[in-house]
Amino acid sequence: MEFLLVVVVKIVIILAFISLGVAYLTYLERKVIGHMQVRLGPMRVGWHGLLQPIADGLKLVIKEDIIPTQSDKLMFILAPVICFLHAFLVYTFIPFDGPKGFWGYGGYISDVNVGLLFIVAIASVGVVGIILGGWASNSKYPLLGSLRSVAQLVSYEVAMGLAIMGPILLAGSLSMVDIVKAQEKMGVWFFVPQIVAFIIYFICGVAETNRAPFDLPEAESELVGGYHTEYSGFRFALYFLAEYANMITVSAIAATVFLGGWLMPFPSILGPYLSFIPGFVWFALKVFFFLFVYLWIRATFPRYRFDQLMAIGWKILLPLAIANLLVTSFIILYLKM
Amino acid sequence: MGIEGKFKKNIITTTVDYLFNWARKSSLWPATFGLACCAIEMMAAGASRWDLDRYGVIFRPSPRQSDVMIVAGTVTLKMAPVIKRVWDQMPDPKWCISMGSCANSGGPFNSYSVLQGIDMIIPVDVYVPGCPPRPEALLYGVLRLQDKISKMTIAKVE
Amino acid sequence: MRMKELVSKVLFVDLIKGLSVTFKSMVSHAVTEQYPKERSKIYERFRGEPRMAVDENGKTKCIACNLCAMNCPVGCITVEAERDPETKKRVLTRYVFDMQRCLFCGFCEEICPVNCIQLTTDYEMSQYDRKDFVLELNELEKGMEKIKYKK
Repeated sequence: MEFLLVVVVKIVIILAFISLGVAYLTYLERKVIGHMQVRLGPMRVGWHGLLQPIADGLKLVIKEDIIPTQSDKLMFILAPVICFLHAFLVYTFIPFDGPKGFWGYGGYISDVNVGLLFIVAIASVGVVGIILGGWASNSKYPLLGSLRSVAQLVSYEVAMGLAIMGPILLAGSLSMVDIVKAQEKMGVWFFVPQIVAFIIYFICGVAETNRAPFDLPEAESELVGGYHTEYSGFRFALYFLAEYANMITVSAIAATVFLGGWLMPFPSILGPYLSFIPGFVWFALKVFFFLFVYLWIRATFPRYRFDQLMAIGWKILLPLAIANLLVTSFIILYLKM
Repeated sequence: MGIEGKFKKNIITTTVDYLFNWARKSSLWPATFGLACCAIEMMAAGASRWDLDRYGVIFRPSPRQSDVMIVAGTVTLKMAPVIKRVWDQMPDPKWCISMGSCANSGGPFNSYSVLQGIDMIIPVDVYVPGCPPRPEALLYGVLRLQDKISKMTIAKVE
Repeated sequence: MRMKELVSKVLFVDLIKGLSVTFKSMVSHAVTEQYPKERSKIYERFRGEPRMAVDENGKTKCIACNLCAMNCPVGCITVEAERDPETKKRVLTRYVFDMQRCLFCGFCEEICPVNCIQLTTDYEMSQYDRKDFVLELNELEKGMEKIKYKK
């Protein structure tokens, strides 16, 4: 009974925290990109625009909900829900803190021994929502956007999967908690021995979440709004939240697998002074770092052409990921012998 | 919403009105409809020096996700059906800002090929005169529109 | 040379250069003018809202010469006048400035022999209704009704 209660409380806290985080990620994006373009970003809604995401959300909910007559109604309604659901389901397996974290209750909802595999699997189900949404709209731009999204996702999923094989080999486990523990035991975070895999993973992560410079599925100059062109009101809000939740997911996986999750940096030097800071603060800082890099990249680079996108995925990232995997496994084999 | 005009004005409807109107006026997303030179001033208003994003106004590519249409520039008769169509695609509640003399009334083009004011095809909430208006004039128009939105109500109008 | 290119590509030299540019502009001061609070300087030759000047007795300076109406490229000015039988002078009876079509070109201001019609530096002219742009003489003398936003 107590176990159930603890899990429910944890779910509520994490869900609330992630929803708020996703909402305020849009605010952060507008602020960061605004300042990078030497302007200010939201300033007038609340103090320095702090209430902006709440106003946006409320407005989208009370907006008229349009379902085009020519669309496939069931699929049209279902698609954003699929996208949203799978974006949030992933947080079940992400360790926000160690097993002793959250004041002894364990800093994660569940620790599954196939955790990382499960996360990658669920995250790629989300694309079904995008395909369905684009197809069900029965309009040419959403269809083109969703087709691009599928092509992009298939190309980059392969390289991404192969890239996270390196840390898995080093850790010898698929469980997210065990991967972090292995980094603690090794004394060095996996992004040092696996720097190639780290870079490949992050590039693929940007491409997977359809963010600039790989935001071809929603390229405004070519495709109106991409796969969500026909969506209005809260259905669009679901897609929007799913996209930002996916950004947080990719950042959280990167923080866990490559940057040591809830671990403190330089524990031998900083350990005595900063040990009062709970693990989830370190985790949040790492996730925040990745999110900032996301926005930074978006403010800096122009969009790729589609053939360039495919060439990067198949001709550069995939061979590099395979080579990295081979080298890593040979070194591990040599050390074991 | 489906609850408009069902209740008399009382404390609940005024509170709801305040909240809804605050949300609506704080996140006006315009459909990008730049047609001529006024569009350049509209872009300037969105860029660094004036920065429409301060008001929560960000340009959306799709009419389905936008609340306000800023028609900036000369509307030829060839473009008029397109404006009407984009307007019809926008979800309610929606507003329209007519920017510049050409969109207001046809401006200097009193000719066979130019629509004499976009209020012939769609309802306009705020007219911004100027040829073209300064970016501040557009910002003033947005502020006037926010004033107009904050007077909306879901209560029954006597 | 090719080796150098390859090394710079592998180390993402170009991308890091670009990222440093955006980061520098992020920490630099924003150029935004927060409009209702801060207003940029409007130079005196800016052509905005039209006004009709009055003399020291509060009467219009207009002598109803009709030059502004004849010079207007879009014909948005209407001048109606009648001859005073005693002084044999033209007296203004009605002056209408239709601001809907106005180009703010300033030709009327330039041609006016008594400096009566002037284009001021005021640009806040938005209205809810098109009818409010048809300005009669008294409206032109005291200016359009407007809200001054402070913050």
